[in-house]
Amino acid sequence: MVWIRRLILIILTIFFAMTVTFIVIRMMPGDPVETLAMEMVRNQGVNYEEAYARAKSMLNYDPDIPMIQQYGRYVSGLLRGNFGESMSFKRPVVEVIAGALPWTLLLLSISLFVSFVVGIFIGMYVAWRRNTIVDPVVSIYASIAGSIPDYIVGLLLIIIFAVNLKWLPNRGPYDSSVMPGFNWPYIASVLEHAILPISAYIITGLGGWALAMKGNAISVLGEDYITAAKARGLSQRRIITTYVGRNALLPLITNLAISFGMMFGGSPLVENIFAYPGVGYFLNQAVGRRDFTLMQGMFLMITVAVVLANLIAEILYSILDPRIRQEG
Amino acid sequence: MDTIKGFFSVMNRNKQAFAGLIILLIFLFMAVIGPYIIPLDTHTNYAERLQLPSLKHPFGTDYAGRDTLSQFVHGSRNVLIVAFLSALFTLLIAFIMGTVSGVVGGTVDAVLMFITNIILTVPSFPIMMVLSMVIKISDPVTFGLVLSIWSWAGLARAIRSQILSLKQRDFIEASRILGLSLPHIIFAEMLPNITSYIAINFIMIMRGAITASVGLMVLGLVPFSSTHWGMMLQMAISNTGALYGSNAIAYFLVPVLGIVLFQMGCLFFANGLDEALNPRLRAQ
Amino acid sequence: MRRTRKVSVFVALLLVISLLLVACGNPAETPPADGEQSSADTNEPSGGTSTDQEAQGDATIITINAIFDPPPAINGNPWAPPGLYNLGDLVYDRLFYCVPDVKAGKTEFIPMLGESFEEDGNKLIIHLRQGVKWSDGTPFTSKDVLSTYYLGFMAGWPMWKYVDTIETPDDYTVIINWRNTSSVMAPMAFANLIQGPYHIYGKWADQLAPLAEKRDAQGNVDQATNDAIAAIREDLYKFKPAVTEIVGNGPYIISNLTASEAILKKNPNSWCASNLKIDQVKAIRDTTTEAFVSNVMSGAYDLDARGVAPDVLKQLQENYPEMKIVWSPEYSQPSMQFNVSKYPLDNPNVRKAIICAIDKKALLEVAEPGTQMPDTYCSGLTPTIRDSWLSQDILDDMEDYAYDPSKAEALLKGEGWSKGSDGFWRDSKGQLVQLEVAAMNSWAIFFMCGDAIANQLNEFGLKTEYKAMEISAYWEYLDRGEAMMSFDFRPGGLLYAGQPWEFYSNIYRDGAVRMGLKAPTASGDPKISVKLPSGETVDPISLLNDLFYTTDKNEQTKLTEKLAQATNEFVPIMPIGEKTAPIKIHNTKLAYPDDPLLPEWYGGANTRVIARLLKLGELYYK
Repeated sequence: MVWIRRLILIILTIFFAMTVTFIVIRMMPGDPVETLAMEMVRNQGVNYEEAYARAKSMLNYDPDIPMIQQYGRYVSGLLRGNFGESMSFKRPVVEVIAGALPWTLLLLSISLFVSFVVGIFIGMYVAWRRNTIVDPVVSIYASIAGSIPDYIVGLLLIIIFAVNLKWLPNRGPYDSSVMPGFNWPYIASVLEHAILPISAYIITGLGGWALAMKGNAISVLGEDYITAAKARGLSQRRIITTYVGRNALLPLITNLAISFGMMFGGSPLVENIFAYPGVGYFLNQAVGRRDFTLMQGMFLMITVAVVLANLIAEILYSILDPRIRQEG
Repeated sequence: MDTIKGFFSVMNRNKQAFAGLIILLIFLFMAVIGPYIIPLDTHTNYAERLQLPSLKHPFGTDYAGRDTLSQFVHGSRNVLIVAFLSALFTLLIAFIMGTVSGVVGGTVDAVLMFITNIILTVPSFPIMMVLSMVIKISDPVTFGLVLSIWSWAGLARAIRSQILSLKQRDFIEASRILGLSLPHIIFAEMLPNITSYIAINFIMIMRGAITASVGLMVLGLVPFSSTHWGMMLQMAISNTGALYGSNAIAYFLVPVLGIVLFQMGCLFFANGLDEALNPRLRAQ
Repeated sequence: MRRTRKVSVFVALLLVISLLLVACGNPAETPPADGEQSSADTNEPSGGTSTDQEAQGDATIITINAIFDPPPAINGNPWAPPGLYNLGDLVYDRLFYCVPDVKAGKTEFIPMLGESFEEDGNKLIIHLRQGVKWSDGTPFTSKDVLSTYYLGFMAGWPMWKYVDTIETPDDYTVIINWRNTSSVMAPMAFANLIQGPYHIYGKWADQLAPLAEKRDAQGNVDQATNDAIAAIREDLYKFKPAVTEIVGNGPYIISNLTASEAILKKNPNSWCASNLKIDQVKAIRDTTTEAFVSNVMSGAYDLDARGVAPDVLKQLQENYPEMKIVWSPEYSQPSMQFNVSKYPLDNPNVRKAIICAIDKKALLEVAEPGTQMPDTYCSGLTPTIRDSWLSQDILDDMEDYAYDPSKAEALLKGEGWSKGSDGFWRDSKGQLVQLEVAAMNSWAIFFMCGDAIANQLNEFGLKTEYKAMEISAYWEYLDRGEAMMSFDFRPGGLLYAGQPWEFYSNIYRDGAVRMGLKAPTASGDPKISVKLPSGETVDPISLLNDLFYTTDKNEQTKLTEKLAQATNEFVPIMPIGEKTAPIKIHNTKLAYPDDPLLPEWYGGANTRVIARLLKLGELYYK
């Protein structure tokens, strides 16, 4: 019964989020036909008259249809499993997203994983050894690195490692000379191209996890059972791993799952700087071109991902937290 | 009086918070008083564009030969007002949603939390990209609104849980039994207990608002005001050779340093405050 | 830490899954068809200029920039969105390239797939090159041209307004029967790439042919026909071959394409294969200026045709003194346009005063590099085209709007305006005059000029607000007729090789709504009448129509003179400068024609110019 209620609530949440984003997107100023036409004038050397006619026929979009009717069509399409067709790319939205999503997941899952794991270890260490030099070093690092937006870090990395040192490529997902598939040159190329954007995320994200872990660990250290454990003469190692580590980690697991869900939205800024064809990059394109259907599809995908991630977070939490487990 | 005294004793004890406070005060001073001391340089002088810092132009010049320092100072007002308004709006919405939800409970709570959940399921930056166009940004108020309209949900939830835990406490129970009015309970009994929490969040929201506003500008979505640091950054990145060894690097670094310093100030101040006011952290 | 390990395993699993997904690749990114691992481009740029051609032994490679959409969007159907953009000119060819020869004062036609053509009354008779093949070996015939034209009908090519019928008497002849005669017709017929091979697109072209018959005298069709065309279009859009499967008639075929670059290899069946001195083209996709500049700095390009902001170009020139620039002429003109239905711009004298109050030379400092000194008259033509059509006598009779603040003041005072104590102008009713300049933030030239113009006007005493806007919102603002002063390319179109008709059509027709000549909802032509200094009243629209249908050069000159005088009095625009585009040659080993005024170089910041030079064999390694 509880689960049915939950399920209904989840579906309702997704439905309302979809509705809200639908309305917001359709309220954007700017006519997709005009936008595409001007882009053609500029990039294809077509004259305005022709460009407008072409754009109009390409988009097959009539802004005069009332919003409620457009909404009705969209929802009935969704119910039949049809997510619509991207207006500017003329491909099913699902296909565009499916092409973009793996790239975003690749970048963000690696960077999330690395910054999370390294971050919690640092945080634990600092909490345990509060009065050593490591504490201020970590705090200052976290403040400075956390203060610089990731896209600026990305730019600086490009200047240093791609432009000046010429160690790493500055753009794109892989070199066009390699053949996509299961072969070493391709995978090596993909990883090589991913290093800089991943570094940008890790540099800015690491400090946050470390600080959060430190904060949690310190509060756990203040708990009675830790004092009791110390009094019982348990080894430091035991206390850190079994008591402090586990309990301080719990709230972060939830954060991790939520960050994981948010990840599906990609990062429009970083992906733009690295010309990395992920979700954020296409979202930026869709906004610029007023590709309403693609934007809707992307927001819907992100919403579903976030809802599922929250659900996973809750389940994880209930598995990991002994208190909840006992109740259940 | 006690809170003010307490505040200063915290500042005295916690060097990090103190450093943050100083940085923030400098920025505040620059934004409030600065524009009266340094007039906005609107005179274009193309012979002197994108110069390195000199005695005449301590921060160099911009793409039209105008003094970068004057742009920076005037921009700081815009940056701070936008961030402040955004934090204010976010906090107001979050406080109202969280408190009403927590205090009233029942169906109202369920509905409000449902709305909060919906907001939380769509990441804020992508939706801000769309909202920044729907709400035509023409002044700091509309800009602040765009930044806050989708950012309050997490805080609202946190405030609600704070209120809920306060509700269990004895003194609230006592006031209730004494028949004190609801506004009295909220503002006189509950609010003081979450003030520090709200203050810390206020600063962190300002920090987030600046990252988001500059991000929107770098993407070219919000050409708000040519002196806003985000706009300076966008111009430096896309229209000058700033990143590739030219003199324009000064024009690029000035807004970057401004952003970084301000963010650091916020972070130091908020962390320090947190450490000082959070009894558990202090106990160690 | 057992929990952490669980989480780690979980995240690691996701990571592997996403790697797998990535490795599966995109359908649009199928590997080279011949199965051989592309031997190109294994050498990393080694600084300075690229030395690709040496490392490759026999194969010569040129690396350029190009605009195209990344996978999965891009596909091998040029008729379906998003199209091939800059890659089009490398994989397909035209019948003739139409280029203005300003020195000789005529339009030159460079034969490509067409061999020759003649115009006989209403007839345009095109003779195709014989023995040409598509890249899959199918012979290229008049049928392919015809199917391309029918698909062009679907795509809204303007020529279909004037076409009566198209015939193909034999495999190598195409005859277009026009409804009227005009000197613009031939360039119009040659404006597009022949990208509709009959053996691929014939089934759609055949359906379109009967529908093209249903056009009325204005070239419009009824609703039923429109719906039928829309249905065919939808069906055609579903055809999405990979870009590597394109059947082209151009010099190259795409062998591989990723989000960041495309590799094109020589098409051995191309008519110009024997001309080609470059075996492979590596086209790096244009994204941000940052990415572009870092590519230049890492020595990625052999040459590029990208327009850049002045300070970026200056920096590139400083860093790479060996970089050569050819200023490719475009005969287009970035301009500020007035909305003549907004107060106080409805008064031509106010518009004149504003133009006189702006120092155009100062604008050139921030305008895109290659922007030449503007027309200080408001003839509606760019200076180079103006000088080949208008005599000095005519120009001397026209009012000159060079920078002259005192003249501007006199003009305003003549309208009863006066300056208030705050230094700002009040109109004849004593009201403070409020102006607004709108610009899009993403085109550096307009953003910076708008900023500069607003500052200059404020200094002059005209209170002006500068409104920078996001580009889509900007176009909408203009198309609702809401902007007061805004920016556009006027004259802008390059398609028909610099004919005066094209220039004035851009102003009075394309720009009608944005300049407040007609309401956004109104259809048809705007109604304008202009009083010339001679006292004569003229209607630019009817002059424009006359100019279109005239084939007599003397008559054309006369009409152009009238239009220039009328535009100069009407002042709908303020020219910022004539635009030329920097084609930057980074590799010092490249040989190319030196004189930028040669017809070969015409075309602006576009891969088209590079493609043409390659096809003609005029771009090669020494």
